[in-house]
Amino acid sequence: MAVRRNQNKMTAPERERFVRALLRMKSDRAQPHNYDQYPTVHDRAFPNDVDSNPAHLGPAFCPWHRYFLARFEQDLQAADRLEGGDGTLMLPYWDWVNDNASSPNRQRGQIWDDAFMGGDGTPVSSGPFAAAAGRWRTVGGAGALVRTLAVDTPTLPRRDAVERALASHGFDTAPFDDTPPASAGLPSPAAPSAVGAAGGTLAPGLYQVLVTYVNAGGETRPSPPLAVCVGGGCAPANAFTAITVSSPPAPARGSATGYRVYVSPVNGSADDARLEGAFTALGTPTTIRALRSGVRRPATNTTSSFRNQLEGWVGPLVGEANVHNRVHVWVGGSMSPGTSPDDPVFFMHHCNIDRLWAQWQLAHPGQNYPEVVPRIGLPGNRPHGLNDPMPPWTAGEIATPAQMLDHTRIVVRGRAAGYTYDTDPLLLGLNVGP
Amino acid sequence: MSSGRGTRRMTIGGHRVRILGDERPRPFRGFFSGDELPGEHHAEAGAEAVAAGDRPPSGLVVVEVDGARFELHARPSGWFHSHTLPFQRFDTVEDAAREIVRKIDQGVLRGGA
Repeated sequence: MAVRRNQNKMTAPERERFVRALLRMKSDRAQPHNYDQYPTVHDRAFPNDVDSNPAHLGPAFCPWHRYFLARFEQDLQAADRLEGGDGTLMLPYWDWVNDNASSPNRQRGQIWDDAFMGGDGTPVSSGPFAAAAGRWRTVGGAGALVRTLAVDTPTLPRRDAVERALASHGFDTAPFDDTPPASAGLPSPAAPSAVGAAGGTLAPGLYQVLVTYVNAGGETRPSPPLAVCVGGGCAPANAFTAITVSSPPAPARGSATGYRVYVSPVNGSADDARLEGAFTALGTPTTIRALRSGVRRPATNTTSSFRNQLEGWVGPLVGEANVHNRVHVWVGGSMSPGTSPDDPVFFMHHCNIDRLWAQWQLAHPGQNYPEVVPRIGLPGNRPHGLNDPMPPWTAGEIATPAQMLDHTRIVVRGRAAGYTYDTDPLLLGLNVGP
Repeated sequence: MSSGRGTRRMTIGGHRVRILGDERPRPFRGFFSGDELPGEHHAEAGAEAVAAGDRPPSGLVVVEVDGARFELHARPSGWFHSHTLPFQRFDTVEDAAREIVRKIDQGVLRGGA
């Protein structure tokens, strides 16, 4: 399995080889591995409304860029072969938490070295991508690469921002932006009141019952659980085969219109939670007669979701760019607009973002990737759902989030393109269930 | 300077800037269509009248720099997002206009004539 490594572990010949392949991609304008398709595709992923953006501000941020990078890596390898390499060249990642502005010997000594990514300037004045070298014309702007390191924001993402994202328990949830918790203003309900009932098909056993409040913005985190025992194994034994749940009281604040009930076997995991009772109006009891698989209770809200923190719309620096966004802003210049892949450091930055997603996946099996993502302003869905083809790869060459969940097994243009990171545990075994 | 659902003109760093659309932040009040409060779309006194064909849709603000058009969207939590500078958040449309002008001067964005 090919390994993506930290750029600060690359030898000088490895860095030179990487740069040569990048320059070859750039100069081979008419070839399938041409570099300029990448800033162009990324820029087109920023149409003028959020609902049409297939790559940002939603859960597909992670899988869209995973495919984008793997596809780029495949083209980089084609260029490497043309330069005399064996085509095994892999993308390196830039771990900006450790190789950052406060560690000048590492940061300045490596990534911005003139023999690697080069320096900064308006335009960049040194290194292989400098305007004066005449080998790197950008797709966006006036045609020259621009970098303004640490000017637009003075610091790279802090360790606590990354650790906070990695500790999130939910991947992403509605409404997928930085609004207050989906059920703005609603408290979570108290533990429900429920009793055994007849008329159902529940197997004998102990069940956990939770409820959430629902309003137009979504639903709250679940209530504390209530255990209900059904069938002959209970003490005392009973003949119940269903569970009737009373409506939680209308909350003192917020605008709850109803509630949902989640019932699961007590020894099942959170990811095995099953829902029978759909939306129920407040004041009306509901009876759970059977379980339905594939429905997971909410465990997070938008503002604490992993994706939202990783992308950088929320984080410890309130009102500022965090994590992913912050790196774009810190590098500045050509990394600022939608054509940001004009700067090759884009790929090393996003390689680190992808590595962090892989780390989070390993720590949070069961992932909870949303199956459907509603639009914000219009009826219908955004192309961010688990099995939605992600534009522009929607016909012929197709990529979906589901296909990107396991980075060791992804396929690009019909060819295996799986990889690991040098930080992945040995014998990596991801649970990639949605 | 007035702020509302009209047009404003200004000069930033020697560039002619025109702002069209509703510049007021839109606080979160649900994420379904038709969420606006009654009367939200009425023009405010003090703003230059905008021809119907020029008027951006609700939630959209247009910043024109020397005739080049850049669009901003009011986010539900009260800030503005620009697909031109997509990794930043702007508290006001003027902040965004200043940043767009700066990026044009850096050669990062293409301005108008």
